[in-house]
Amino acid sequence: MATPNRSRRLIGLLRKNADPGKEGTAPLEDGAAWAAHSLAVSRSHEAAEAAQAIAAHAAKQRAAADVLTDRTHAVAARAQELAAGFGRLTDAFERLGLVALNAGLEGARLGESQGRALLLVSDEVRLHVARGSEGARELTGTVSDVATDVGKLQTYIEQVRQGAQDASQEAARVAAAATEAERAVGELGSRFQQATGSDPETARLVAEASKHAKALVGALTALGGKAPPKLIVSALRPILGPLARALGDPAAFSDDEAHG
Amino acid sequence: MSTLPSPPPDVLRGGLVMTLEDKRFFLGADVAQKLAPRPQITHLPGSPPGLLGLALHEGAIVPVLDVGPGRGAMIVCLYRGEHLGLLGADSIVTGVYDRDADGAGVVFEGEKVPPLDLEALYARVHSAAWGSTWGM
Repeated sequence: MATPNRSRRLIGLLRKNADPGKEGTAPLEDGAAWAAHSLAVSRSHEAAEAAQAIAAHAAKQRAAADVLTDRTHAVAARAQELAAGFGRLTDAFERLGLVALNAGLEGARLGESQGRALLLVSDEVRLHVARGSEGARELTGTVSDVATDVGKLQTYIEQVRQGAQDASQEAARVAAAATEAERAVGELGSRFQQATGSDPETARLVAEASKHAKALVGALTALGGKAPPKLIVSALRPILGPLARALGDPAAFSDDEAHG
Repeated sequence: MSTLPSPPPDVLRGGLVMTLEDKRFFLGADVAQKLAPRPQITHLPGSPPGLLGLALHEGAIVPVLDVGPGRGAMIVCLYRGEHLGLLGADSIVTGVYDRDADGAGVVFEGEKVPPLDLEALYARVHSAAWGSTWGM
């Protein structure tokens, strides 16, 4: 419910709006302008906040990408160490294979009977050397594949990091622009207030009164088709009478009031 | 093979079987002395074809002959009283094998393997003129 003072203020504004001889913009038009202004201020503020939030998220993403980059560098270094280790293992197997072959050659030189033990050991060692070498080669290949994948991963992470950095910069630009827009809209409101003499609170009240007035007109129109006008006027006189007087048109209900 | 039952000694021959460009050759244990890792070879300018250069093996300088494109170990041989290195063989195996019908080669995995003609290799290097690769 509106307080009596507020109602009087509203009525005054409505009177002003109804007087076509007044200079400047009409309060209803001011109200629309102030509503648009308020919306612009609100939206530019939201845009600035959202842009700052995006910038913060992008910064977090970039930090995470930096950590990932460090980790992948560490993994790549480990893969290189592993590859070097498997390389040494392969060399060791090759040397062991030569030892086995030389043992076999020595066994062959001694002859089948005397060198049998050496020949058997040579065969057995060569068999295991072959298996070990094959395993080391496979592991070397796997490590090499891992190193290649890690290298690709590093490239992708660098792209993500760069993207996050770009997004952060763009978001900062958007935040700055939105803040500037908010300031400009605020200044626009000040200039509009100076030029029209209106203010946002008045405009809001006018808009509210306008809404209620439209609702009243709508209700009266709907009621007019369902009941005799005289009956309607009689029923609404206690409310509409003061309203009409407040609007400066006491003649509208003067006859009825005289009867009342 | 080393795992065969013991036949009479004269039908067996110990040594190594190598692969040179998809062909197998046998080298007896009396000639093949040792297998060594691929050495660092010092090339000799103007040396005849077939002589890769010189290598240090167990404190001694040995001439290294080129026997093929393989990447296997160096076979150190004792031939005509001097040590030789053979480089370029693949898939080297050692053991005692059945002599083939000729008596010069062996039978390896059911296949007749001829002996490596070390004499021809040696002769080729010795007969070639030094400096022939300079166009002299």
